[in-house]
Amino acid sequence: MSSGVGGIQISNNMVQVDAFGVTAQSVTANYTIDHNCIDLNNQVIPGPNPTIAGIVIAGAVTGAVINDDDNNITDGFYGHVVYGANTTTAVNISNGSVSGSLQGVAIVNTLGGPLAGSNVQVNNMNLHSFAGNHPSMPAVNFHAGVYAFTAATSNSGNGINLSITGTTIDGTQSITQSSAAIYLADFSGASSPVQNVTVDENTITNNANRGVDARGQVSATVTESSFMNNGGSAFGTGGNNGFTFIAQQGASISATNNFIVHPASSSTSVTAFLTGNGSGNSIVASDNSVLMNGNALEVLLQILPEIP
Amino acid sequence: MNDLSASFSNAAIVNRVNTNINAECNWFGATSYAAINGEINVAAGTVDFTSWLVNGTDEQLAAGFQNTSCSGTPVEITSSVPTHILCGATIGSIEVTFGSGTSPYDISWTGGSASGVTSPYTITPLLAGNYTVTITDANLSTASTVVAVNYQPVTNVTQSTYHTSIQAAIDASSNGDVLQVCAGTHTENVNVNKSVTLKGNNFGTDGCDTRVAESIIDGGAGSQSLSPQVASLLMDLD
Repeated sequence: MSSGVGGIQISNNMVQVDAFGVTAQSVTANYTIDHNCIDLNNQVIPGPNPTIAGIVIAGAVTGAVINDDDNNITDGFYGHVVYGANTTTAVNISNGSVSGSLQGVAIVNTLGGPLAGSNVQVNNMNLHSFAGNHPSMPAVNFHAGVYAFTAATSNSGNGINLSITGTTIDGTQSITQSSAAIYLADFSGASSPVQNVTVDENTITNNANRGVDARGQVSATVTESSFMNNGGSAFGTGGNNGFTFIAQQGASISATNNFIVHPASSSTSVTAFLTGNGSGNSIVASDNSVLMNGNALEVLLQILPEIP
Repeated sequence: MNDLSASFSNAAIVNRVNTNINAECNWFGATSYAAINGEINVAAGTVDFTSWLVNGTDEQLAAGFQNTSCSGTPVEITSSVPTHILCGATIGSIEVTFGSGTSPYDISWTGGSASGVTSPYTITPLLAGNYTVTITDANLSTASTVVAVNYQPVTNVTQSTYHTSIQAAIDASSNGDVLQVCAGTHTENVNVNKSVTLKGNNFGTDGCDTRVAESIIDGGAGSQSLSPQVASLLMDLD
């Protein structure tokens, strides 16, 4: 399916396809995609757009209300992909689930062409049972519950505003070092935040590599969330141990009122808060509960100058 | 002056000028319209040979050819109305109304026939397809028509019209119409360019809930099944 403009509601459909489930492009008015059951037959296909998504929202005019609600997506590369969905009215992705995918919700400011920002709310989603490994596509080969990407030369005008609330992210694997429950990746080279992210009241559990990974010009505020059993089976190679929070390449994380419980055992060391590679990294952590859970390899806080 | 330059052989009547030849109540040695018509050559104008005599008996031998059986007329099919196959149905029919000619009448259609029928006659059961229907009267005059019985799985609920495809329904719809799509696989690529509601067989049922037979749009491998380009669309298919 594909879409041209707006005033569209796609509801209660069972979609089983080889390629994309629903593609909403150049949305000019209200657009609702709700209560659909989308089962993708492939994570990748041959051709210029090999990575398959259940729902793609690509381009929207200012003021267009886009509601992606209660959709169940299985077995794609991505569950939801958002690009250029305007920076004022937020795209609402809520109440659904994604499983069997590498990445649950991906918000990007380029699909290979012009930079275009988005304002996205991820609410009450269940992102779980991540699967897949495609080494032939190293740039996108990682697991992430929520992934935000801003490309080189991005700025605040074409960046990403993202809130993640009430969402469960369970079971990302450590297929590569970039895998994380929430991966906020900015490559803009800008001097001020390009991604502004709030993470509130979520459950982040059983993610093998990282909980929250922020790199570049990212400003992330994480509150009142539970981080349980993350980083227990990290990628490992090159110092890529397990982390609940990692801020790299100038990223800033503020973490307040969170529960953090490390895995009881782990294959590498596990750190609650880490400032990693690059300069200008910042973590402000206050009023959090951090429990080592008897793990002999655990670290509460590390400040490391360089991790590949 | 008559133009006799052309050669017309074995013709009962030849009209070479732009006028009418009235030739009713003649015996042409045949009883069917087609046979008689084959004996008449009309280069210009018309030849009216209806009604014709239906036998060659000379009823009064002393006074030349005398015959009063001038009842030969061509059988005509005045209407043929198909009942198409709609959502949930499996068979259709054609009601054939005919007249003129001389009874008894026989009827044949692609795949079947019946004798001694009266008008109107309903041909059933029929699957979707094109049917050639022929009525033959006692004089072997015939009349034929071709009728399509269509499978019409899409109903425009607003206008109470029925359509052979989703695209055909959309093309014939108006903004605001509700289109109900039958269960089954609809092999087509659909361009939605009006503000309509598409309802499938599981309308209102969550995509992951227990469902009945689905209404499926299959655009084929490598193609888009549905391309909404509209101001308003509610799609609730499968």
